[in-house]
Amino acid sequence: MSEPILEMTDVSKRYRTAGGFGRGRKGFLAVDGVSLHVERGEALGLVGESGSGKSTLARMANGLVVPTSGTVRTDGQDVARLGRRGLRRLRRNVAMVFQDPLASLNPLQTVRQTLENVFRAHGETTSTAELVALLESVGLGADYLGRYPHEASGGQLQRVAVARALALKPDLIIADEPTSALDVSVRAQILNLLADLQRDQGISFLHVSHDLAVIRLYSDRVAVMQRGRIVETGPSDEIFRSPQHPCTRALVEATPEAELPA
Amino acid sequence: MPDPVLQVEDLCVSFTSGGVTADVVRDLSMRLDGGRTLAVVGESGSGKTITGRAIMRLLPRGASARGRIVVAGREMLSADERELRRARGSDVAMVFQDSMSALSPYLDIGAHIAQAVRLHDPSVTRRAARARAVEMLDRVGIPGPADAVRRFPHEFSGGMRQRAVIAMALVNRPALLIADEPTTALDVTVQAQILALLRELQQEYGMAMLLISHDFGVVGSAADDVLVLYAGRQAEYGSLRDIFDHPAHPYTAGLRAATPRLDARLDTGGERTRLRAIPGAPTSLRDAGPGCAFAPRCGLADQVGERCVVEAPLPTVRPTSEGGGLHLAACHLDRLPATQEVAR
Amino acid sequence: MIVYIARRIFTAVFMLLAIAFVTISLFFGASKDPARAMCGKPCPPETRAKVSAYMQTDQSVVWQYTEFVKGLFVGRTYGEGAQQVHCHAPCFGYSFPNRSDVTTLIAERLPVTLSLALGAAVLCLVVGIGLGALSAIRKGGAVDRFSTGFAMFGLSVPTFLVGLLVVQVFGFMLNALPYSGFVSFSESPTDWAWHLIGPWMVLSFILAAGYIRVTRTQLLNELSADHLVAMTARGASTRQVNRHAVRGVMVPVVAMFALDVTALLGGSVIAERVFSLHGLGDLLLSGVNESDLSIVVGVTLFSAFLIIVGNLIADLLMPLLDPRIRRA
Repeated sequence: MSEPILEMTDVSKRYRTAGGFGRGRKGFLAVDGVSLHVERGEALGLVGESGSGKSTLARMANGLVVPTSGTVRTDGQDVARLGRRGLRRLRRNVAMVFQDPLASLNPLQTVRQTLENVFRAHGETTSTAELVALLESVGLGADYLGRYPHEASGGQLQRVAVARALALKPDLIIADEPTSALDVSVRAQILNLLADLQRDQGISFLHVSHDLAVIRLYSDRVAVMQRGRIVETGPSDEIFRSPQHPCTRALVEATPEAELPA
Repeated sequence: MPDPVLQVEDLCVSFTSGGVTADVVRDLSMRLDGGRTLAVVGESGSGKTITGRAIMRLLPRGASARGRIVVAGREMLSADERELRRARGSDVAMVFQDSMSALSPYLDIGAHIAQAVRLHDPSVTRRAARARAVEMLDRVGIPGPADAVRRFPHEFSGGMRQRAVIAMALVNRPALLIADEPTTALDVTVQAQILALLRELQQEYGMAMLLISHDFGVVGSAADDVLVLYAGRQAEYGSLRDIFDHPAHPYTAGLRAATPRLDARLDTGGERTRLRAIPGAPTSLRDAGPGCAFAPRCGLADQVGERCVVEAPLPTVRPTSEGGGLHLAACHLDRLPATQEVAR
Repeated sequence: MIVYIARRIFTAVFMLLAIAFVTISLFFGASKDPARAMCGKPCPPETRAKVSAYMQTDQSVVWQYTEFVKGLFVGRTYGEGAQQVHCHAPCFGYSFPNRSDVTTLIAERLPVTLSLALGAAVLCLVVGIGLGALSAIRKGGAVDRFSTGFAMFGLSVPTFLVGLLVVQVFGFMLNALPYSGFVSFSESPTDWAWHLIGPWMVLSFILAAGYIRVTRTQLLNELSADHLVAMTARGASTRQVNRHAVRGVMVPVVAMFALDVTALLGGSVIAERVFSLHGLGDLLLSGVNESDLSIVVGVTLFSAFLIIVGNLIADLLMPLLDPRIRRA
């Protein structure tokens, strides 16, 4: 079996609290000795409540957050040993999609400029035909190239953000609450799009979400985080059918169902 | 039949800016009795929040409402400023989505609740009002209420803050509570606690609750009846059972199909289930054409034909399940096809 | 809280020492020796060296700096024997052309600057907050349009032009106001105010612009804030809501006011010049004109001191106004 696309071993992250000397010198332990891996072509769901450390953990995968201890191996390389150039190379292979598409896109740039910048940042040129193909792969027409972010809806913008992530043909996409800011009827579109990318292009996903129902449907495996630790991992069907850890059980029980009591 | 706590008839809300007036809510009617919960469900542009604000006459600058709104026997749209002040916070109160911004950063929690008390009964002393605040914080389950009244909003966790907001809203025992996405900003476990608390207090006080939400999960666990809004108009109204099990509007059915569920029924043994998405994006009344606002996204519009594009459907009575009350849907189709292929 | 205050004061003292060092090295280290102006003409090199030694300007910058800091606490003595002069603590330096220590010179000029600054500050606060609040409450109305224009004008027109206009119109054309001079408050409060109305108008006109803008934007933000909607939803009247909204405006206004008042207390060179008032600004200008570096350094450091103290007071006031800034 080939090497996992992402492998984290005993990683921790301690944030120093603001306010200098004296108080709180120990800081805040956001991630506490976590080990986790994502196989190639797999979608791993990372769930937990706010403040559980899931976003911090996800951002270690492409070196946006540097762990205080432990090792992160992405695509076979030790992230801590990569220099500035190495990190840049890594980041073309590991793309990100954020929660708020309007905030993650530059309001002063057209979709074309946004996409072209990704290529330029890695010293590549691109053609209009390529950009159109890229937009079509996320279900948008060529007419979006000339639009500014404020001229598109939230769902369309999130498609642009996905297109930007896809531009350099990454092997891993870190999606941090990619549908939390979207309307219900649009959310499913984006989730289906991500699922198609996984199935058709073999892209691996690290999908961070607070929404268990979303994770259940769109992840092969699930890791449940609580206070900086992973308390349970396993295939998503199993985890949600018979949650073992009390934290997972509490989450599952608290999730309201759009169902009538039978 | 007792008088309803809330009655809304043909409510229209319009915004005027730059000399142009446009409706954002049109021809909305609803009725809500004491002790019952009506969920108003919708996405962006549906007008659900503005409807809640219109009921309290808390419309932003440039907005105006027409029609009829009666809260606990009081005509809200014709009420003068004094009457409105008397009604707000006493007959009808509100819980907001973001508890942080709903509380003044400059006042401690006790001051908020005491203010709500004294605004409606100036004879209550400051001290007695603070004592009421402690009582109320205790009632909504805030530990150490005597100490908590002196704390400021930013010193509370999100869940505790929302409890404080509920205490503030309910201190005068309103007949109607408008809860605008009361749990959206909270974690699921906290969300479940807050919903349980609201239900419990509703039963204790016998108040009516208008629950504004985008989340069918929350609606399913809290509502008796559901009003589905699309682009400022009523798409469907009915009991929770009718809405969930016998939706008569393609939008309601589509929204349900697009909502991910955690339950076992989706267990497919390996093969992954996909949600059925509704194509396109939600619109608002302002951007909708003369026909049905949902028609451009509706997979069934083709079956009806041109009528959907030129004529906005009016709510008509639909069959109800056993024990169900009124069931209305605004769709030119009399009956949804059995296969739920509602989305294109 | 006490730790916070102590830390702030510690930082303030450190800042002052650093500013003193920079000022002294800039003026005594980099400009021409003030002894040249004192030694008269002709000035043979030996005399100049003597004068220089007497004024202690022949020493290194570091030495002068330590002497200066020492002087602040214990005073400083120049020359010896019959020529000896002593500058009492707190000594901000000694002005040889004026034959007086700088501390005394500043103290003499302070009442003028104080009168000018406080009056202008109060006036600009009243006008600025008043117009700003009115234009926020009636956004787009006549007051709003007027005060936006007023603020634009105040921000873009130079002080001297406004000053000269006021002197010309009220002083010469209408003969309504005196156009120069100062009467001390103890002498005659009415005359004191009468003579200062002109400069007050000029300074507050320039400064009010900022307050109009800050008050207007901040109040507009506050008025649409959820917590004020929530307050209305509790049954509060528009009046009560508006009154509460003022709380949110106070924080940035106090921060701005602390800076402006202290800057005014450091002397307003142009306004004092136009209205022939002999305040700190005028003193600074004369120091520059006569190459009297002791005065320049003394007044600069005195202003810096005021600004830092003003900021310190503002920082200590903030937590009282906004509980979110309060520390555990």
